[in-house]
Amino acid sequence: MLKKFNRVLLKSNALRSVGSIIYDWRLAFEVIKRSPLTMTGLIIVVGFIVLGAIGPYIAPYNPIEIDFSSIALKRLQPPSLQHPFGTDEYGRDLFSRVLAGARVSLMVSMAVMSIAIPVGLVLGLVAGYYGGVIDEIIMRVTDVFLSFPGLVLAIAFSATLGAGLFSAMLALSIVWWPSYVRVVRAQVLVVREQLFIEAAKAMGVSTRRILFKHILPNSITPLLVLVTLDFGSVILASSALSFIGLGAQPPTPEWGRLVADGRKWFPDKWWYSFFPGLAILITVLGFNILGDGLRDILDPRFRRRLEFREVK
Amino acid sequence: MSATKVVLKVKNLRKWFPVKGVFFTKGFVKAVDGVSFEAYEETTLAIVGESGCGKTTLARLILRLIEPDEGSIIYNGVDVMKLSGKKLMEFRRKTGIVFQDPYSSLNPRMTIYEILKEPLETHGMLKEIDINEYLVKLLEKVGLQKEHLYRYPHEFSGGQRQRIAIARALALSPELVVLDEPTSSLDVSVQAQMLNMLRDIQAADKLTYIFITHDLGIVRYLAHYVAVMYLGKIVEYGPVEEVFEKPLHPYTKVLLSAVPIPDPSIARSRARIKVIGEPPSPLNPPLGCRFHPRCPYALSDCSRREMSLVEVEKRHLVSCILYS
Repeated sequence: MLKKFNRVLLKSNALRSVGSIIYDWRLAFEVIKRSPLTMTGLIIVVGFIVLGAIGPYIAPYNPIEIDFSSIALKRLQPPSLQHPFGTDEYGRDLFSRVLAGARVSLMVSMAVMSIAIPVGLVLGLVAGYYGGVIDEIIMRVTDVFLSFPGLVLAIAFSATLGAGLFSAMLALSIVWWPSYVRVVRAQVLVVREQLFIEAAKAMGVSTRRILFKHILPNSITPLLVLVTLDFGSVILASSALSFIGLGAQPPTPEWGRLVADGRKWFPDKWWYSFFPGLAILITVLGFNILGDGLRDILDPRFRRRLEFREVK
Repeated sequence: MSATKVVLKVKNLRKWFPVKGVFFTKGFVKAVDGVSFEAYEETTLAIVGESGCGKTTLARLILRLIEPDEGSIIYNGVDVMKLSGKKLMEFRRKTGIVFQDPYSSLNPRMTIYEILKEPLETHGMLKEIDINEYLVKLLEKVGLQKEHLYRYPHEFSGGQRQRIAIARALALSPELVVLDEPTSSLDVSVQAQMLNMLRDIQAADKLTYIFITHDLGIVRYLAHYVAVMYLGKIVEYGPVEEVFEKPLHPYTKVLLSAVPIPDPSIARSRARIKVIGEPPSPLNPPLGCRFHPRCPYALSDCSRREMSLVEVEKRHLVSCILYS
């Protein structure tokens, strides 16, 4: 019976690797639990993602529609039990608008990352692995992008493309990939000198397989940390674009836009700018704390320590 | 040892690495500079020499992991330098390599199963064999069990990792295996096990080894032929017994007299031949015979005439002015 079970286990390699992935995640979770700060970051980030996903459905009021019949009665009310974050000049519930804003921020940051990460990854892999002329070309183009302050470049692109959420996403994507190329390339330069790469070459393994099976999995860790940290930065940058009127247009409830709109009434009606600003602050902070924590956890020395402890 | 078929014939192999300055190439490290030798079927050829004499470069050249600047490598009558596509894959299938450092030679993100499966997958052999049965057999051959199959490299000791690396090199049932100091990063007791294992595998699988090492004890134990390298050149080549009993080149004599002897009374009575100074930089090797500045027997002509290997006795070659 046991023998048979063993045999099944041997045969189902997929099962085994799923098991090891679960083990890895559980291990990571164990470490996070030990660091209260990272745990806080994780809770904020997960909370942000959940709110981004379900926010509009649980919002107590419609975040966009204006109820014209009661504007005069409801406009610019301070926080109360009915309206925890108060209301804006059109009588809309700010709590609902901030909740809906989580989805906008989540969408923007995910869209930017889903362009910047693959581009950075592929260019970094190619530049680092092949070196020579290809490396020079890719890196010099990257340097051109990196030589401008990111936000300034994003503003320039965004203004050229025309105001709007979509052009803001595009502008941020264009600005964001170069730093990923650098990080991936630096890691590839280290990994490609390892002997297992040479062993694979000696066995006749194809270049494509070497790149994606050997080099990529061993170069991705620093990128993961950077991406976590950058999620916050993208949210901040897209809010900044919206704040100066280039990103989301009304009535889209974008956090940066809300802060900008509330400025007119500041400081008398402080809650208008304060709560969207607080949302930005907490979210960005959460991503930063989590990114810092991940950096420590993914450091193999730290991990080894944990595994030793587990054995005892 | 009776076999005489030449498996690998290396002729006049040369590899210089450029040293780049700010604007132009400052010079060349002459890592391998005109090396010729033969390896016979089912025998072990040891290549010995001190650190930095080009042993590892030579290993990489033989398997065409780096391209030589000059010279030819004939494997079973085929010029390896001219191979490409399918023929090159065939060569890769018939050769294997084991590196010195078992910590960097295994991909930390792959299980042993994946590591050993990769060569079989690459050469399309998965259809022909029952992969699980095959891998278990392969592991048993190198003294590991099937429980080890689904672990990651960091779960193993250095010796076990080296066994895995050997298993990977043997996965395709090669004919020629290049072993680049496979035991020098292991402790002595593990070294002995590993050498016995390698010897057993060679006998069972009829392998040809090229064994790169700086340990003369291992050479004596394992090798049939030995090539002594000094600064990118082979100074002496011959059957192990002959070279150890009757070393011809002064450098070989120096090396052999530096081997520690476990008996102090014999050790004290032995006349040690001493070299002068440090090995010169391969960037700018001495003219003439490269060993002459350190050679206790140097003549005035040594700095002028560059010698090539001369067959003094059958299959015993030496490159020294004293034997020309």
